[in-house]
Amino acid sequence: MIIFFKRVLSFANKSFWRNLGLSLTTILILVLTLISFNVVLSVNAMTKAALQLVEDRIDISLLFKVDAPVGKIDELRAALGKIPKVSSLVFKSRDEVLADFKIKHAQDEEILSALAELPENPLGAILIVRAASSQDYEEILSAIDIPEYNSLIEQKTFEDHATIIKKIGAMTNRVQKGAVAISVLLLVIAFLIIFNVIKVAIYTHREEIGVMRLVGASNWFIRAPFLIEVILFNFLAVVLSAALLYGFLQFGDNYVKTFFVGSGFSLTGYFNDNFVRIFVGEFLALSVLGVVSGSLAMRKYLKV
Amino acid sequence: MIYFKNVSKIYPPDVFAVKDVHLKIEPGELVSIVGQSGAGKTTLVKLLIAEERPSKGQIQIGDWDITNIKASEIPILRRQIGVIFQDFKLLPKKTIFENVAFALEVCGAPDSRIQKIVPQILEIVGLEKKMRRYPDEISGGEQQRVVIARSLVHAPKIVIADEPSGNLDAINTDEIVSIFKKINELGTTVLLVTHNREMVNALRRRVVTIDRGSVSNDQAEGKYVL
Repeated sequence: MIIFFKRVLSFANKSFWRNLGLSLTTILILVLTLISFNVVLSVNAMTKAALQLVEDRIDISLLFKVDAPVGKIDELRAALGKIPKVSSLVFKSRDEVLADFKIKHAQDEEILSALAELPENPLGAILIVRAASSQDYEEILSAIDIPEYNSLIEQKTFEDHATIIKKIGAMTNRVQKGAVAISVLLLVIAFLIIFNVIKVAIYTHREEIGVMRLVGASNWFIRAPFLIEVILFNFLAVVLSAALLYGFLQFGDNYVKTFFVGSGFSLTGYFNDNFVRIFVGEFLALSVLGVVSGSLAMRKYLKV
Repeated sequence: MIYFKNVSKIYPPDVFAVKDVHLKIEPGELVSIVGQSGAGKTTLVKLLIAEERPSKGQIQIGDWDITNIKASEIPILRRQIGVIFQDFKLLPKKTIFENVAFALEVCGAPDSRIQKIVPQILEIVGLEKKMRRYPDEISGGEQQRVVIARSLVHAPKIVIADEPSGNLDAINTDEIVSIFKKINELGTTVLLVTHNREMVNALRRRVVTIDRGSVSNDQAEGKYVL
């Protein structure tokens, strides 16, 4: 068995070098396919991180009317506290809101003097509601959307965030669909290229194959080098595409990091954390594709 | 024993390459199969190495019925039959040694066995001193001897030579004949498929004549007669 594998590897290696131009073209197409796929993964990871970042900043701010009774506000707070999807509630009384306002506009004399002119605090209390997930806000909002509570509330600030989330989601979908389409197209091209590489390899080895058949080489011994060659293409393509990716990340990841300051997200980190899953997965997927394509070519062109 | 039992090979629509051939060849025989071009000689060889399947009849080698041999069994059959063709089928980028060794390599023989057997076989065909040369550095007769050596590496029970003297001059043909005699003396059944009259007459062994796909003549110690 060891001798079998040793010889099959040796034959595959010779075939690789004998058709070097074709071998390199095949690897190039496979590398382009993998780069395209890695771009899809990067976009996916970045949009997820971006969504998380936006989600972390999302809340519902309920601005109460100045004359809203404190007892009713407490009732609303208690009702919200009972909703499981609410992760936190931060209440600021009218006095606290005023104090915050004064701190925020401490440098603005005009605003402060205008405020001093007023007979009483013009600002209402604020309740900041946070949910476990951005998808939960609609439900929370509908839970408090009853006339009894609406009469207390001056303004609800959530719609702007919802729009941003929807826009990011739509953009992500479009980018992902485009990248997936390109990947599928390149996979089809890779499939055809591998098919033709095996066809040419069979043609260039026709004398050896003829002798092998004549002297009683097993069918597997004749076929295996072609499949090993395909797997060798895939291995080199995955290694090359990973090297190019990490080469790009050396420079490009700094730009990506500036968009995610504070979140700790980086593409290098993402690919490091998922290294085995991504690159071994790509190798296995390409190998399955290559073996299927190679087997079809052999079935058509290699009589054993 | 090789046994063709009423074997026919029909190519569509109804062309008989071999027609109702009934032939027995005993172990250790040296048999010349002669006939004009297109008589069906090469088809008989192809049937024997399972490159073609018979349309009718039965083919047996010893106790092994190869009429409907499975694809996975064909390599096993071919290791027991050494085949020599007119167009040498040597690999030009391999040396003489490598060409002969190739037949063992592809069948999984260990390197130590290859290193031991190949020089011995090349000695039988008188090429032990030229084993490092490439096919284009030796004569046509020597190339044919390399092919014979390659056919012998598995120590086959049967050697089939299809027009082995087709590209050779008279001197080289004599050398090849003496090698086949030597192989036969070692107990191997030898089938010579040829239309070389001198070769057949020099052998003075059994001659089977094929005419339009059928056996027209079978003489125990015959001469080339069409």
